[in-house]
Amino acid sequence: MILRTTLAGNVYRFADLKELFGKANEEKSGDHLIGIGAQTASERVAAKVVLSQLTLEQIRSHPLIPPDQDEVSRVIEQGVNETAYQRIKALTVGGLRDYLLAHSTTAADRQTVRAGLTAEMVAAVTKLMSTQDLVYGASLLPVSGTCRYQIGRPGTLSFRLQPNHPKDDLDGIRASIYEGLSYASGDAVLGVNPVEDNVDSCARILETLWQVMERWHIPTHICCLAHVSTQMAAVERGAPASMLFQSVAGTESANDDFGVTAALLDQAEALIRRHGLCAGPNLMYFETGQGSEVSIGADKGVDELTLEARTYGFAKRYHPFMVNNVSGFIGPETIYDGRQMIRASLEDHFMGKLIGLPMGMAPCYTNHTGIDQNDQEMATLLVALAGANYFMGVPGGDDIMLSYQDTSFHDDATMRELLGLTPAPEFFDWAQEFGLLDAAGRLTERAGDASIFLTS
Amino acid sequence: MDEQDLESLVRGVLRDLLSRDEPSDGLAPRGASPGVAPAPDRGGPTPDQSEDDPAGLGAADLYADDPQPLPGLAVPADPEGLARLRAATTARIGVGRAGPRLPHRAWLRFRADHAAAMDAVFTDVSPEIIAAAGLTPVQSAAPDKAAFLMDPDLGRAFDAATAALIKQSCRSGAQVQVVVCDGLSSTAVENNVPDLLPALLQGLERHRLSVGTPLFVKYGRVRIMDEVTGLLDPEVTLNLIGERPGLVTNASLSCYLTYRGRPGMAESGRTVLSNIYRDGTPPAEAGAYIADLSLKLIQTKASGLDLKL
Repeated sequence: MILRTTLAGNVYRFADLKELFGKANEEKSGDHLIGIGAQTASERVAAKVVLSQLTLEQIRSHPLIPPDQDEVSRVIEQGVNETAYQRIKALTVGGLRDYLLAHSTTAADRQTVRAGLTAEMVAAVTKLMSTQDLVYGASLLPVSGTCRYQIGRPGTLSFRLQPNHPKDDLDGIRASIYEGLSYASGDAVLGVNPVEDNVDSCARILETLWQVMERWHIPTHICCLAHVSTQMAAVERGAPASMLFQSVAGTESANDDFGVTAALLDQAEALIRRHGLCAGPNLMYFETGQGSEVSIGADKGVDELTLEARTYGFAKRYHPFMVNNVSGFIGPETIYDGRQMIRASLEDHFMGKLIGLPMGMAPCYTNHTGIDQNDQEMATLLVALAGANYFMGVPGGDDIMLSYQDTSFHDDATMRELLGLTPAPEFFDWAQEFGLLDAAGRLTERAGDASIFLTS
Repeated sequence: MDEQDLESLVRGVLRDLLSRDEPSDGLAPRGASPGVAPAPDRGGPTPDQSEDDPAGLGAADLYADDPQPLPGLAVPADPEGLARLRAATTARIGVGRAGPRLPHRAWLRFRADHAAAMDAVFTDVSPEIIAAAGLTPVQSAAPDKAAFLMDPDLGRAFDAATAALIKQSCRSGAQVQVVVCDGLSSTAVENNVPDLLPALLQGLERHRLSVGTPLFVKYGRVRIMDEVTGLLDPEVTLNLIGERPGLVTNASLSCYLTYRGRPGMAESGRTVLSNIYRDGTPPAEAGAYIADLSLKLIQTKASGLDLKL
């Protein structure tokens, strides 16, 4: 394996794949925090050059985190289709990039490639891609998910309505739901992040969401984003849920910190398959984000992009209905400014789709970074163009419980109108019948008024 | 305000809502004072008269209610109902739209709230306020704001020279050591500490507790209080620190307390009082409460999960 190159007369050497992967990234504060980012612009490019010439087989045979030391590595290894891998293992990383983008490559070819990839290969090819590569490349890799119905079909754009309240006040939650529904947001899921992570609170929120869904005959899904074990206990007690949610990460020690193992998620999936509201087959919802491992010291010296790809490799085991990143949520120690957030959003969406996940996106930011609303809106436009399955819908873009900013109902309607997209067909029918969207999927005059749910 | 005033205010607001095309602005009227959005917790503008602006107040204040109905927006199906929904949450609902976009006032209000949050993070506490509060200023190991934000460990430590200076020039072995940190909001420190600290010190005096040299740590995080404890050996250490700002408030302060803390201690050993700001726990009240809490820690020789209140 050659880990050396010469650029403009200077020789660049990399000790191992871990160092090479770190230095081949576009700049992220999290990689600098753990001392693995490129020191100069030329070193960054040299790392990309070396990486481009490695074969997929070389990457698989030199694991960044060995499977005998880490559950995430084992889950990813178990997920590889060996027949597909044999067909692609001689490709270089650069060759893989060009093959994925080529006009002559068919959708069926891309399916085959996908089945033979590991997370590290996906991370490697992503490091060679530009903004437009990531947008164009992802647009060729649609992945949908089916819970009560299908979302993520080309031509559609869906939304998770996120009606959080800082005291889990049910009237406050309902008020934000009505506002969101009046913008035709909420076909992916009505999903609340609770303040209190306990079974009573989780069950109470699920009941409230269920009542809203039933009262107005809304074809959608419901979820309370407590810890998965809390949701399992609520469902076992008879609470209604369409899917189960959990945050996951790219190393075993980070998942330990989240209180998650593969076995626990296996149990969760079996439980919701038996007692959930929907037939599926996709019944899990995951949130992820670049830098979550770094922020809790569970990164094992691996760069945050690669750890995110590993997170997706782990998530794939559960054939989820929804996966979205929240890379901008974590903080300036992992993503410092708008440029890094936009880049991370594009990388995450592309990597998730290449691995085979139904990726939605949460281009977002906290107030202690250099990121602002203009950056956030650029990220939203770009990942919408790339084919994101769904976005969040937060009132006015301001989440008053989690204290961060994410896509608003207004942004959601704008993306649909700009790109000519419509909600999932079942929900689209409801929104037209309710007089919120016209036949083209544009907001009607009646839309945007939460009080229609008080009079109808 | 007496009952009659309140009634006439409510009637006025309802009349106002019914007469307009849209609930003005995305600046939701809240709870008991409908029609008046809370101003951010900060000083008022200085009048600046000119020919165009004889009153000297500048462009209309985004934080006041909009007297003008907005053109081109639908009449709410149930205006009173919409007002009730808006009173149920601080979320930005009932804001209306311009096409699919936010109306300009709601958009500018969002920007103003975010700007206030960013300024709280990225500006420094004024040296005059630190001096007036009688705080001795020192700096964590973070050389600047960017390093402080990107490497949390720097804000949890002192360099050797600063540590030596603290040990040499500050009173050691006091019962209570006060530390003030900018943390993630300089605004929280500027708005709350001038009222909080005198109330706190008076309370400690009333409880006859000895107090060490109060410190201000620039670029400080929560755990730097443990370094101070290690250097000066007080019984109780207090860290008054600016919280990460949201769009609802940029000026919320927290107080962390430890009994016999030490570097590397578990987070569960800290007692916390958060949400200290004008509309949360007001600073003077918080100061008196923290003094009582300090006495409790000393009497029970415990803090955090070990403390039974």
